[in-house]
Amino acid sequence: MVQDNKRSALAINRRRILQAMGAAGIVGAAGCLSDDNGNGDDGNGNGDDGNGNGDDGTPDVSPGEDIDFEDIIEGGTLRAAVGANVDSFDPPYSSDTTSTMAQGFIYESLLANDSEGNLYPWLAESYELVETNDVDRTDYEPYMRTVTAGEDGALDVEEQILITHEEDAGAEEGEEVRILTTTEAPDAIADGVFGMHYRYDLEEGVMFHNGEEMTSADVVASYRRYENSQVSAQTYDSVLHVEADGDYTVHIYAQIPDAEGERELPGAVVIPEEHADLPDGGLDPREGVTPIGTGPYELEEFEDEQYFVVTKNENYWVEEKGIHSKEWFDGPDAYPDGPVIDEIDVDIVPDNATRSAALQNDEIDITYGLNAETLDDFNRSEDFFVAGVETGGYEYFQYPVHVEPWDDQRLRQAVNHLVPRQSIVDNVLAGFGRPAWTSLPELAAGSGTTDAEALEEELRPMNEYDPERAEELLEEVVDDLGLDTPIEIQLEVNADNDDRVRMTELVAEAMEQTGYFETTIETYEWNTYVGRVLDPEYAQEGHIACIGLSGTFNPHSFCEALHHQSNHGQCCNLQGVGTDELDEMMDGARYGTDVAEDPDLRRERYDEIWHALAEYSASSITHFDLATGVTNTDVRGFSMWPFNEGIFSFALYSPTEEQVIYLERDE
Amino acid sequence: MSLRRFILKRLLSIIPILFGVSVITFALVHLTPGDPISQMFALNPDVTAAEEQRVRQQYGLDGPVWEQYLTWMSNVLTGDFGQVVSTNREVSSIILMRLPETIALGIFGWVFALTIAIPTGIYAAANKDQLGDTASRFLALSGISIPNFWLGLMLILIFALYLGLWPVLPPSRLPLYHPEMLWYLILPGVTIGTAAAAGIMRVMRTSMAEEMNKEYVTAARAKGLPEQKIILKHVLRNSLISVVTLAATLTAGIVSGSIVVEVVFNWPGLGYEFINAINGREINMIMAITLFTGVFIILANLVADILYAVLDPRIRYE
Repeated sequence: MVQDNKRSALAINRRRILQAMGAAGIVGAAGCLSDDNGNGDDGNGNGDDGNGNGDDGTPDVSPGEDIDFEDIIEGGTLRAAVGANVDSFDPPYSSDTTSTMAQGFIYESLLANDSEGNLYPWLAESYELVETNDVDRTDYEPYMRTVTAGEDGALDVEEQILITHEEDAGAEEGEEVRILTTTEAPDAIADGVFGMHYRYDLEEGVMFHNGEEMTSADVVASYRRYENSQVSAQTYDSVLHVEADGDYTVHIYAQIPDAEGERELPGAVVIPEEHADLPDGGLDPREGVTPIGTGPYELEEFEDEQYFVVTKNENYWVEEKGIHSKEWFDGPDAYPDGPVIDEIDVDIVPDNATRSAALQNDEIDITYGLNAETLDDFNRSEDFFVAGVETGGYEYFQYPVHVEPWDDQRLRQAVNHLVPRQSIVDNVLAGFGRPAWTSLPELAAGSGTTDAEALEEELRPMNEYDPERAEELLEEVVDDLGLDTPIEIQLEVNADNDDRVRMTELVAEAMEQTGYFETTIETYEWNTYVGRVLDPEYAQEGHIACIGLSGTFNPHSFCEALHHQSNHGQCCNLQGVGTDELDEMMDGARYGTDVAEDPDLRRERYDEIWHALAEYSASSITHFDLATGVTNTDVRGFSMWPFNEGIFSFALYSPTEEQVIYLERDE
Repeated sequence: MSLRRFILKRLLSIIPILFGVSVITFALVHLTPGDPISQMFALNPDVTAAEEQRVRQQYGLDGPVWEQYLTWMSNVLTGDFGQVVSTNREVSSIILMRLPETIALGIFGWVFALTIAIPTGIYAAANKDQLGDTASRFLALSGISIPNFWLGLMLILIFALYLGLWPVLPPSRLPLYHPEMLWYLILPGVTIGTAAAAGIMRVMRTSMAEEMNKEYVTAARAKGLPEQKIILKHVLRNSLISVVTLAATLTAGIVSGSIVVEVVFNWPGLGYEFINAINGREINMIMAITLFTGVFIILANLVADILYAVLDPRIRYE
């Protein structure tokens, strides 16, 4: 999942001006490297004085406000501001945060999540894993057809390509390529060649905003719309085939057994069949089409790049059926059968400082994505409520493992000990984050480790700021390899993310202090930087790169993107790190009938991976972000969702967590 | 050369200039790393390099630069400015939607600049080397020196946040032609017009002071004409020649200034769109706004030249 950098590139904001006036800089932060940062002797900033933070270094921010459902006031208009335009209301033709956020009001999926990633039937009344087969992608060879590669190896095929034969990957122009498309997939399934088979029995009586009932045909058509779309890769890297069975049953087949299949396969949002064949991106008010879904809100107004308004769906199916009709729901009787706020007015305000000012000026009730200093101000005020939860967003440094002397893992381990994770969280992020003592955040711990506490206990010593241990390792490496010191190294980072730049400066400062390194820092404009670090040749340049990424509830997203060799030259294995053995370990933790059927085995395998990655030390994950939202005191019951794209839909109404917000305006 | 021939010649010169601007801009955008597709999939682990290339091909962004330019140019000549990749929307429709916002802001800034600058310039010249003159020169210097984004932020801070006289966010639900919008135009309009006002005021003061020393003014005074009449009837017209010329030229500054000011005030005009386009590497939008701005600046300069000649018959078209 993309780390939302879209608007960080706006070069003009209040914070930059303050910096230009000398109000911020690294000077203050650099002094926090040593043990004298107001914390304990361990120097990891883990004391209980620090910055008014708790023992874990995070500020006093709760994940949400508890309310008594009996007190709920119905009605009102919530005024919100988001940080970017809605690129599209067409789900398969948008992947940016704001689009997903806006679509979350309107559309729903077969399953719903809670904030720990547990799944619950939603548009599906129930679902089951029918069958798992021990197949891999080579088993589809008999069903593949051959096409000729065009210019740049492009394949001119109308259907969605599901699998390209591994031997034909990277074919040149004129060469033949074997592929399996959506046309051939049913033949394979008929012969029992598929990885997994899930059956979803749909809720009956679910109405779209246009009054039509949702049936299995709509679900199948929704998946069809994802074919060859902007996000088709995310859907059809696992989905093999979707078929209807009567009006209320859908079967979804996976290409190979996948421990993440339960979450990955039903990921598409459901749209009416009549919208499935619209032109690319055509499901959008700017194209004269009003989006229609089954969700609790309907799109009322949209002014491109200015605002959009959604109003309550008066025929919301949950209100018709009652939330207690869901077998898994065991909340109190007073919990409402749908969101209670009538209207949401969402202004599009790219600049953080402007959103912050609008919130202070009572022009909006809620916003998100503010920087650490601003959050701190709001958090200290009684007129505002800041909610925060640990998210899957993380930042990491990656070392040039293919360039001497960085191919020696002792050197990388040494630098990893010079990454002052706690100082970064305390001083750069004002406590709005958690040091990454392991590579696994809380939200993915459920399926990513057998014991999160034990894992942290074992790996934390390898990831703590420890200049003494770093110097021991450095001395060893320098002697063994006969290196001349100081070792010159360039650290690189994108200039338009202030926190990331300051973080890099702290690490460079720590490296310099050892006397073994002579560092330089090079900053780049975001697009330039991304183009640079995703270039396969970058691995040979011998620089340390710093970038951010966002994982999901899937533990795989915290190891595979950075370390699987197949991700070199694309997001986000920047330095071509990894080994065949690591690849096998990662594949083995996610794919295969054994882990698909045995979650405990999967957890054990991930535990092995986290240990192996800590030893290998190709990447230093610094911290996990805190997703934060700020409201005024008119908003009651606000709780934060771990990912920005879901904060409004989650806060407004989410039975999986018994979450609902209402407005209590002073008359 | 007649006025008509002069205008025609200048209008024809727009074509090579715009061609040059388009080639340079197109080349510069392509020299900058990244494109709308790489921006779209920047850090998405689910999207392979091959998949990214497929989408790039779909939008015709995979060919050589010269080929892309020729395709773009041939489309532009038929009035098709292409699409914004991230939203699939027509560039021309976005420009038509945003243009009135920028024009309204520009006109307000321009009117503000002239309204402030001309009387102040006259006053300063009439009271040369006195306290009022010194104060006006200080203000002019400040107006030129203060970056408009800083001024805008300060105005928001003081008048919106501290005094609560304006909202931080412009009223997006009000149509631009609504009378109430005049009120909301004040802060961004003042921000955009301040530097122009300062420039015009300085020129006004200088040219007025120069005219006041001329013989016809001395003669008028000798005849016993009241000072006010001399200034308003005789000196002002002659002084306005250079001011009008400068005002037309400063229009270009107002257009370019709108880029920053629109972002600061969240004003949904072309400048705001331009910043978005640059961030998203939306080349079609960048090209269209650049060309549009180019045409506007060229025409503003042409108007300045024509006005100069109309106001001063001694000027010959060459």
